[in-house]
Amino acid sequence: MTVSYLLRRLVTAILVVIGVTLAVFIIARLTGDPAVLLVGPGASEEDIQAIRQEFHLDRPILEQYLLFASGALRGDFGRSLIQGQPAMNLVLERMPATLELTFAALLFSLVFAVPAGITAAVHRDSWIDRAVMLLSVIGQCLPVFWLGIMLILVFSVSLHLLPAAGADTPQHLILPAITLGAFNMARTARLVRSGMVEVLTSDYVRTARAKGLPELVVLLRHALRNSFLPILTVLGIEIGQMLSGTVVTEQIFAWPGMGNLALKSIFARDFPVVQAAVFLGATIVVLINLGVDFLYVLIDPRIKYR
Amino acid sequence: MVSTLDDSKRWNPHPIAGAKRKLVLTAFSRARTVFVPAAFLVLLVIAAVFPEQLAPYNLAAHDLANNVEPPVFMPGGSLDHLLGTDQLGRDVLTRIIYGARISLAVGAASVLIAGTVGVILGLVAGYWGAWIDELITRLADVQLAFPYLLLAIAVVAVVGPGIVTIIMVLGLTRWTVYVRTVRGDVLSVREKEYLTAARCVGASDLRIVFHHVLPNVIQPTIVVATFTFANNIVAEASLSFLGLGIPPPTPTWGGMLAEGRQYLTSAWWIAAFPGLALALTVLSANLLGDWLRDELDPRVKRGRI
Repeated sequence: MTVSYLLRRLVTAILVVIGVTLAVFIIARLTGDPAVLLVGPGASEEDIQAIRQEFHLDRPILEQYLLFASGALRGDFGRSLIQGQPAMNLVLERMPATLELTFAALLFSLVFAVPAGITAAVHRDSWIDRAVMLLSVIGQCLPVFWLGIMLILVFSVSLHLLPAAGADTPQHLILPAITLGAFNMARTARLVRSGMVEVLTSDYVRTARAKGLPELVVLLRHALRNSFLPILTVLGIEIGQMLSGTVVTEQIFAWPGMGNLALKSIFARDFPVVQAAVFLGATIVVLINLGVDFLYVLIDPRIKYR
Repeated sequence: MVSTLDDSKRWNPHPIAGAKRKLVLTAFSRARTVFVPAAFLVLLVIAAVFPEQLAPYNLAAHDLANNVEPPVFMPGGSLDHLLGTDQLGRDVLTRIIYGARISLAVGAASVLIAGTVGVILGLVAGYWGAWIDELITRLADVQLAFPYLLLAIAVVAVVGPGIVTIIMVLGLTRWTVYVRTVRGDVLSVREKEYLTAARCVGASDLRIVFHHVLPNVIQPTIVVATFTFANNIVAEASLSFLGLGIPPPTPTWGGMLAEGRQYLTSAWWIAAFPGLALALTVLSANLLGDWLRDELDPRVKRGRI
């Protein structure tokens, strides 16, 4: 049944979020005495004791976890050890840049992948088909960071066409979006092709053609719509992967997003910010996957899950 | 090659023998397409096992007088350094050969861990079913939804970077795909007659699982392993590139890329060649995986999918 399936997904999502708070909590405990980290170097033993009481660090570990988890769910991860502001605020400031990059990459990949996949499927076994498939295989094998660096080499260093770093103008978005979207473009093109190949041989497509509908209408309204479901599932996973993939892309292009902040915070040993970033990143990914599951059921009412 | 292909088209008085021959021929032409990637991977394994013998220079050798020397095909390049030298005068080819060792070791070890964990959990879930199946499937769902790069960042933040950390992170996060494949296959094997027969002669559950079920579900696992091997190599390189993987001066392809990035305007080869080695490795492993999947899947073998 659909309802029990969605319920199951919801439970999984909640379990993941609990798992994330647990992982983040363990990080906090393994990095040393949180009280010492909080007061900073040069504090007296009394200061540390006071902090320990104030932050309930003298309580049993389970109670500490529950306190931490309830704080995490309210977005309270404490203050940045370096900047002194609430850690979550620092991460939230960076979130729009990361989302902008992710959706630009997604848009870029779909704009090229869907037409390419359809064309390949329509001209199956032709040279166009083979070229699209070859590019798709290569595109799925290019390491993200190498692609990014090569794009900088060609378009910034050699041709001086596009900026290599920063996020000041719309042009700054082009290279990072291509870098982040390339893998998804390659994979989606392949999926669209195989989905379309299957659907194009079906009876209802033949019927649609026999009715004398224009080919474009047959392709887009009858064929594409039905081959889109498997793509949607993969897309949900892809967006999640892209969101964590932005860590690499942001690093290459000095893009001021969450990944960039998380990485800087690791090297600066600013753990509250790392925790907040990991928690928020994972939660967004879980929510997107959950959203796709719900969308899936909405789009195709035929689907009945056990 | 051309003459053999023409042969198969000619009229044949023995259609069955001809069909058989055609099957062998198509298998052969498919094998040809996998020859190049397979040869590349074999070469890479040899390089990883015998870097001292194959690399033109000693790993520690650096020659500041000859730093940022371009590769052989560019003006100013020489045969002494086929792929040029880096900012410290180290031979790029030598470092790529030594880097292959790290990449392959991390790839193989993490696949072994992930595969073992995944196959065992998949067998347990598929064979015994009930609540333990529910538990394992749910666990896999949770694991799958947790972005591995964020997990890696979190773990590295605590434990610190290093080869063991990387192998453990990749090994313990990539087991879900094995569980899914193995579990599904076990479910289809579980009701087969030979299992009932084994049960009738009094074989224990453990014996049935390892002697009768496992050999029948292991093939798809090998295909999956090829793909995860490629993915894990990229993951290690990404982490090393970010400074979260294996710290310098150990030569890793990702680390070399990160270092070479600073010299992109003056010496592009420092970053480009390690990346090329990585891309070719991943491409080869993926092509090999595609080929294996087609060979092992009887549906693809008969018709075309």
